[in-house]
Amino acid sequence: MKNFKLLFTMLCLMLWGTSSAEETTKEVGKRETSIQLSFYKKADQTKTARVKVNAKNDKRKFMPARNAHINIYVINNKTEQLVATELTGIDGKAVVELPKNLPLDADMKFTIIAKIENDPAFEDAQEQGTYKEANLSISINTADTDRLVTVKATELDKDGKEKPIAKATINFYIQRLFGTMPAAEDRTATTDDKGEGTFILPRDIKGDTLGNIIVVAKIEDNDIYGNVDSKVDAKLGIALLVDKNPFPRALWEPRAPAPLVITISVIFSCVWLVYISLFYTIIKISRDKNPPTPTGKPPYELAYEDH
Amino acid sequence: MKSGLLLTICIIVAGLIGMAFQTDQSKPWVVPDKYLKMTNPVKATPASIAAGKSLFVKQCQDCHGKKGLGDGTKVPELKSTPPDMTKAAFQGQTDGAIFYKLSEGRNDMPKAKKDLPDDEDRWNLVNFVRTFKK
Repeated sequence: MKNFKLLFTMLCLMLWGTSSAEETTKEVGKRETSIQLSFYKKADQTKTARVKVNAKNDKRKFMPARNAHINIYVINNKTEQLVATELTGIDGKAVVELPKNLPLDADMKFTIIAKIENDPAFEDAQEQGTYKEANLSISINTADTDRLVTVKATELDKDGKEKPIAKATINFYIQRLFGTMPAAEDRTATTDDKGEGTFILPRDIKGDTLGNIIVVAKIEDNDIYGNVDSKVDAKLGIALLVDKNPFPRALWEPRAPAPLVITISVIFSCVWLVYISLFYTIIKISRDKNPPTPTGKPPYELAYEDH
Repeated sequence: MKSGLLLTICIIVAGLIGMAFQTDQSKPWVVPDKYLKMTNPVKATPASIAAGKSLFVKQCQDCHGKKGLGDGTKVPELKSTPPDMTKAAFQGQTDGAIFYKLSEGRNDMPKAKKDLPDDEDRWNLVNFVRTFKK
């Protein structure tokens, strides 16, 4: 008994010690926050701002911040104009669609600001990005045996005319069901003075049943243009051959071998027979009000006899 | 006799539980004197910083984050906490100390000299992380 008391006291002390140690590391009030902003212009000309918010946990480690209120502003005539409000998801990310015509400054640039303001759980934070709008056009001459993909990058100058973008790094990908796959190990091209870059498409890319693929060109994480992409369909992939008889001699074949069908049927029948017999016995017992005992007497009489 | 044995067992168990709940208190990272006093042979020119940035994006950004805050995408998978490179605690170190730490690595931090055997590349990285100073 004495030992038990001692053990109990020690355990209580240990639990108190560990819980109080954890409490001291917890931050009271709002959590320190970091915010990252990226601009995306997709092939269909939609423009989005993608925001990633991280907040420090009780171990002072940045983790994705869920349900942070994000306000997105654009600068219009040197004043901030609110364009959208969004909550971050479980991964700390929020995607906000931007207006098609963003207000431009004298240098044909636009500025986006992502802010966390007066959020009850997170400290105020903001990130600003100034970008120029770029256009990418991608073309493939399918008659060309070299399988050359040409991409042209342009931006608008002050007169509203298209001007080539030189020395831009463009990466090439192939569209797949859940994302994009690098088109080759060395998938990068750099644009020349005309804003043009070329890439030779490998011959071993698998397409659909007709050999169609979608080639995607991307400017990625560029300090001036953000993320821009463009797509083109091409019949330059290897046509996918669908195997019409992938599982020969299988049970689910139209003409499965008879011994297989008989064996499987017998096994399943045995299993089901056991279930049915058990079920039948249980029902029979539940319906019988005076179940037989080994001595032939009802169970309650046997109980009295024991005493 | 029995209570003494019980007390010893309790102390051992308490120690083990304490170790399990131990928070991430990183041990001091001792930098050899040779590195502490080492001067940076690569000047922080725009070319060096640009080269360092390119390496940082490829090798370090996933953990240290774009701005060196320690908020990279891989942080939730790490056992340790990447330092905030904007703070005085980090920026107060000598170039040689930063060079040593990124070259040799520790725990989750890989040895940069494995992927970047050229000293100049690692000094470029040092020059770039200096730009995080607020």
